[in-house]
Amino acid sequence: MNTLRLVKWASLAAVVGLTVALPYLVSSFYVNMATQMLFFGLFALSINLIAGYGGMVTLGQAGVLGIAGYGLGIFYTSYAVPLGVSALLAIISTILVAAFFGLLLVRASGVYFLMITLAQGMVVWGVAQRLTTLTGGDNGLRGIARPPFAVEYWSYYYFSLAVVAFCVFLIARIVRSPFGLSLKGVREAETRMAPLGYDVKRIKLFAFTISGTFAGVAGLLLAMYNNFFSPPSVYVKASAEGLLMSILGGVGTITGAFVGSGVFVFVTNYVSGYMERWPTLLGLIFVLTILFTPDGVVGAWQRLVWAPLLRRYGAADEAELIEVGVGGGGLLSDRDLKGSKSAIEAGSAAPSEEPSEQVEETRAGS
Amino acid sequence: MDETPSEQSGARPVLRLTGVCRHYGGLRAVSDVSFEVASGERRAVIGPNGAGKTTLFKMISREEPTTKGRVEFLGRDITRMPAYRVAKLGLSRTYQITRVFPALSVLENVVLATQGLRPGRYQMFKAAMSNKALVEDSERAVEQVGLQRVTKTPAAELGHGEQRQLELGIALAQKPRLLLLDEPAAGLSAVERGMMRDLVKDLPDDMTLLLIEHDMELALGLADYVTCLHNGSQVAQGNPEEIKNNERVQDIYLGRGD
Repeated sequence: MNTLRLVKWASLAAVVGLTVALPYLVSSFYVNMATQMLFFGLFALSINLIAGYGGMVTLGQAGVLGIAGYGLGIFYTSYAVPLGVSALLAIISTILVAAFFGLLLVRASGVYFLMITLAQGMVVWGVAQRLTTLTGGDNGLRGIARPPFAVEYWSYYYFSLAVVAFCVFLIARIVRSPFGLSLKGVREAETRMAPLGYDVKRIKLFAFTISGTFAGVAGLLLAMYNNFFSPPSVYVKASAEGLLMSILGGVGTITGAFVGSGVFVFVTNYVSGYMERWPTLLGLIFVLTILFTPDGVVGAWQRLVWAPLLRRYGAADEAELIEVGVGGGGLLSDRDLKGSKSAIEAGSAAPSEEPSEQVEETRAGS
Repeated sequence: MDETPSEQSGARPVLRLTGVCRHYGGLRAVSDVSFEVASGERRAVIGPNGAGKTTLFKMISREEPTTKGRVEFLGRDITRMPAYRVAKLGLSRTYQITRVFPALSVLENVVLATQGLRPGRYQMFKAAMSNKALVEDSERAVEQVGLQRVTKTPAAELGHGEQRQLELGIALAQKPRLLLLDEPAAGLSAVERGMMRDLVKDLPDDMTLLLIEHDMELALGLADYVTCLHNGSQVAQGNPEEIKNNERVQDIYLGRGD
C-alpha cells in the first residue's frame, strides 16, 4: 500500500514538474498546444461536472462559454472597458445567463435535458450570427487583448496554467463535498432524492450555474488566446467536441477531461499537419473508445492497471469501487447490467450465516 | 378499535388521512381513504395487487399529487407540500422495488440519507466523508441493518437481500417519526424474510410504522392495527385478529370478492 502511495505521489510530482518546466523544454508550437489543452480541458471538465457527476448530458455548453467570450470582446473592444473589469463583467454575465438557462432546465432530465441545452446553445449561436452590431456576425470580434503580464506565448501558458489549476482545485473540492455527493445522488437515482430531503431542482440549478461559470472561465482564456472570438466557438460542434473530450478521457473523472482535450488538441493541431483526413482519425478514436472502454482512457487505466495493483497490495475494497465505476460510468457504463448480474449470482449462492442464525433464534423463541 | 388512537401519546395522531383520493383520468386508484395513525403505532395496509396501496404511500410521501382529500402529518397539512419538505418533517420511506444509489458505496448511500436532513447538505467546500458526526451516525445506521462488513462495497455489487437491508438502512438513517415500508420483504427468501421481520420488530417503539405487505402472516405478525384496501377503497379496519376473521377480507383474499 505504501509503495503504491509512493508511486502515486511520484507520478503526480513528475506530471506537475513537467507541466511547470514545459516552456523550457519544448518550442512555442508545443507550448501553445499545451495552453489550448488547458482551457479546452477546463471546458470539458465543466461539462463533466454536470454530465459525468450529475448525469445531465448537455449539448449547449459552448453557448455558455460564448457568453463569456463575447462578453469580454464586447466590453473590451466596443466599450473600451479595462481588460480586468471586462473579464469580471463577462463572468458575471455568464453566471446570470447560466442561471437563467438552468431555470429552464430544472424540470427536465435525460434526453429532454439534452434537447433543451441544444436549443439554448443554438440561440446563443443565432444571436452571435445575427446581432452583427454587437457581435460582428461572421467576422467575429477582433482585438481582444491578453493581460499585459501574459502576452508572450510562455507567460500566457503560465497564466492559463494558474487559472485552470485554481479551477480544478475548486472543482475537486466541489465533487467531494456534500453538494457533490448529492449531485451523484441525482445521477444514480433522481427520484429517490426528494424523499430524502433534497430539493432536486435546486441541485440541478446550482450544478448548471457552477458548471457554466467554469465554462465561462474557459471562454475567457480561449478569447484572449486567439485575441479573437467568433460564432464557430459557440456552435453546437464546439459543444459536442467538449462532450466528446470528456467522454474520451473518462466521464466523472477530473483527469479525464484533460486527457480528452489533450488527444483532441494533438490531433487537430499536430496530426492535421501530416494527414488530410484527420477528422476521420478523430472519429475513429472516439468510436474505438466507446466500443472498447466506455469509461474512457482514465477508466481503462483505472480498471486495467490501477485496480489490479490495488488488489495485489491488499486494497480490494478500493479496487472494487473502481471496477464498479465510482466516478466513472453514469453516462455510458454497463453498470446496471453488472449490478443485476451480481445480484443474481448472489441470490443463487447460499445465504450467509448471519441471517440463518437469527432465524434459528426466532424459531427457538416462538 | 377503541384502544387505537391518540390516548397513549395524549397528542394528535402522527398521520391523518381524510377522504384521500387519487384519480388517473377515469381510473380511481385510491378513493376516499380515511384513517389515523397514532404515535408509536404499527399499522399494516393490506390488499391484493392493484388495491392502491403503493399509490396511497406515494400520496403520503408527496411523490404523487392528491386528487382530493387531505393528508396531515404531525398536525400539519402536507397535501400540497413538496416531498423534500415532508422528508424534513420526519417522514421516510422504502420502496417495493429497491431504489439505492448503485455506484455509491454502502456508506455513501447512507451518508446521502443522513446528510439530506442536515443544514449543510448543499455545502460545497468541505469533503462530505470527512464530516465525523455525519459518518459516525451513518455507520450506526449501517450497523443497525447488519451491513457493517460491506460498508465500502458499491450498492450495485450487493445481493438482493443486502440491497433490501440497505434500502431500510437509508430510511432509518433519517431517524424518522413516521416510516413507510413498502413491502420490505419483497423478493426475499424465507430465511431473509425472518431477518427482515426481526429488523422491523426491533425498531424503536416511538417510531411510527405504516407498512404494506402482501404476506398476510408477516403483516399480521408485525402490525397492531390493519387497514385493508380493495380496488382503491377501504373495506376493513381492525386489529389482526379481527381482520383474520373478517368475512369481506377473506372473500377478497380467496378471490370471492368483486
